Amino acid sequence: MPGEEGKVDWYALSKELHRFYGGKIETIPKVPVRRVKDFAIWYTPGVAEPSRIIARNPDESFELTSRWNTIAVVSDGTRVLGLGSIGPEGAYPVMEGKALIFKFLGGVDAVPLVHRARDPEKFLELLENVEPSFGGINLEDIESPKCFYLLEEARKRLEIPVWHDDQQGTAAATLAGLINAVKLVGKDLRKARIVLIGAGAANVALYRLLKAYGVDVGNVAVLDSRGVLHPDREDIDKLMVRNPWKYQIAVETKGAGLRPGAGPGEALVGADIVVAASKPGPGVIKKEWVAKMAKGAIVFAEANPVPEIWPWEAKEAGAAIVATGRSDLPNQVNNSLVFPGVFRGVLDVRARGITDEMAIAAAEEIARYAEEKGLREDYIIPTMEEWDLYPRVAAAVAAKAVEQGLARRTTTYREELERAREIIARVRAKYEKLWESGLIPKPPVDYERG
Amino acid sequence: MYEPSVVVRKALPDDIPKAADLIYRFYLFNEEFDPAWAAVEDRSRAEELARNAVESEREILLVAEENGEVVGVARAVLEENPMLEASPLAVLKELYVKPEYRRRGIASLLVEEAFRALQEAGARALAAEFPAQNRVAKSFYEKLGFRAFRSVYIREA
Repeated sequence: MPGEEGKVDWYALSKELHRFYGGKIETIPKVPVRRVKDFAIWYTPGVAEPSRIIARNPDESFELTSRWNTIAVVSDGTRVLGLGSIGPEGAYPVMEGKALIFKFLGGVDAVPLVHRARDPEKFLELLENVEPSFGGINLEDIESPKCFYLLEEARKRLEIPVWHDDQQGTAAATLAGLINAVKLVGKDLRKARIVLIGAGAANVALYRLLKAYGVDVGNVAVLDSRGVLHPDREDIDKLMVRNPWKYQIAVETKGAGLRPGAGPGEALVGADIVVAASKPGPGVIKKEWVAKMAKGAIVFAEANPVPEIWPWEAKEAGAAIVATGRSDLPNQVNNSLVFPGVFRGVLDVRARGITDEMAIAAAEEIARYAEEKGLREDYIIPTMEEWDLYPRVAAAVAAKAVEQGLARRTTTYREELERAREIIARVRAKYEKLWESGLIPKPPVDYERG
Repeated sequence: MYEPSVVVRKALPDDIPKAADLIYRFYLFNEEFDPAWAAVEDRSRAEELARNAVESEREILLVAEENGEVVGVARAVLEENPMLEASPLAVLKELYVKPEYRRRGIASLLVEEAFRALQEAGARALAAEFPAQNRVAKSFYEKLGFRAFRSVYIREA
């Protein structure tokens, strides 16, 4: 069974290697420094001139400094992975890991920025205050519903792209998978009966993307732990006050025609698609519920480490296509397919924001990539190893940003595809040199066969 | 924002169960802002309240109806204070519109109609009660030209 403790104890290995390397990233100069005198160019007195230019026109900071390629990975540590509210220091290794992936897959310089501003207004103030340092903000591991408010407000207040990966990243990856899954079973996503189980960051964002994609929301049932979001639910006004995002879904979908309080067993009868982003399984979604879904049922069970239902159980119950959040199972719905390319694209055009339409453009490009390779029920979405995916996502997102008038710099799909390929290839080549030369020390334990 | 498909009318005895359900929801909603607004468990009290309002000449119970469904409710009472020039006051005790029918002006219709009816019964000013923390209600009544008029402070016994 996947997930059983097999060859590698990831926790022990990770602990040892984090201690050995003392974290995962560092900054390295990218300009010639052949003699100490060169600092007169890069630092005082020469640097005064770029400073003066930027002071006159702050947008020049995107051209004369590394701001254009630098983002912050920001978290208050209130909802870290499966660990919960473990605080900013506890969140640091995760943010640093994210920064590593940003660089490796997207060529993006990312800086962990963990902080104590848990209060939403203070959090926003912090983002506004540090905005001049960065070309973009990636929010991460923040409790719901605060994360919805933060993203909404930060998008309005900041003139650089703001992205909350647990919302848009997961949602865009899911949408990419759904676009291809419905092709395989010959259905129309916009008319499908869709059930979303769990109303946290991922599914609330997915709902928003589905709506923007043109899905008929009267056919979308969204469930939280108390059943379907429905305008006649007893706690509806509580939601209006405490979680207006869930409230809005209840009012817009009218509970998809279900009775108030209907649970997943009831909601899944006749459904074409279920996307669960709720709590680790197995058994959160029951086989007998899947058995009552429509023919050609699509089941996305995204909880980690254990999906809401095991893929083989879903298949036995009649599901045609199953996706999970796990790398050791087919069809991994993985944020890492999305965010490196998305940020590569918005940074390269100096975008002022990331819209839901840009997230959809990313999802469509990811779907197209897999389709070109040939869709199968166990290949509806690319894997992380498919390196040429990331420049394509960047190109699609950059072209959309230009189209939407949010780019400070214009480009075309073709042009950005080339640029992104080159930037990412150079990062990989540099890294390979460092590795081969031994400047990055070999790990003290040999884990490669794990 | 007049909503032509909605009818606001006096509640009839047949409306009492549905109106009572919405009155109960008014308290569930307001409990969110202050625990002292928590309603009793016994929902039949809401029915009693609704029935009294239908029968009394000093009170009014209105329902908003769309396609035969009760989608909103308002209850107002006449309140005497012999010292006040403004007495009797028409005081709106509960106002509730179902979520999917909000933002269409139905609550405003209910408010205006409740006060019109009680003015006929002698009211000289119009007031509305809601939790001090309820910012939704505050901005709603301010838009209709109301101002803060009296404060009621509370402390648990």
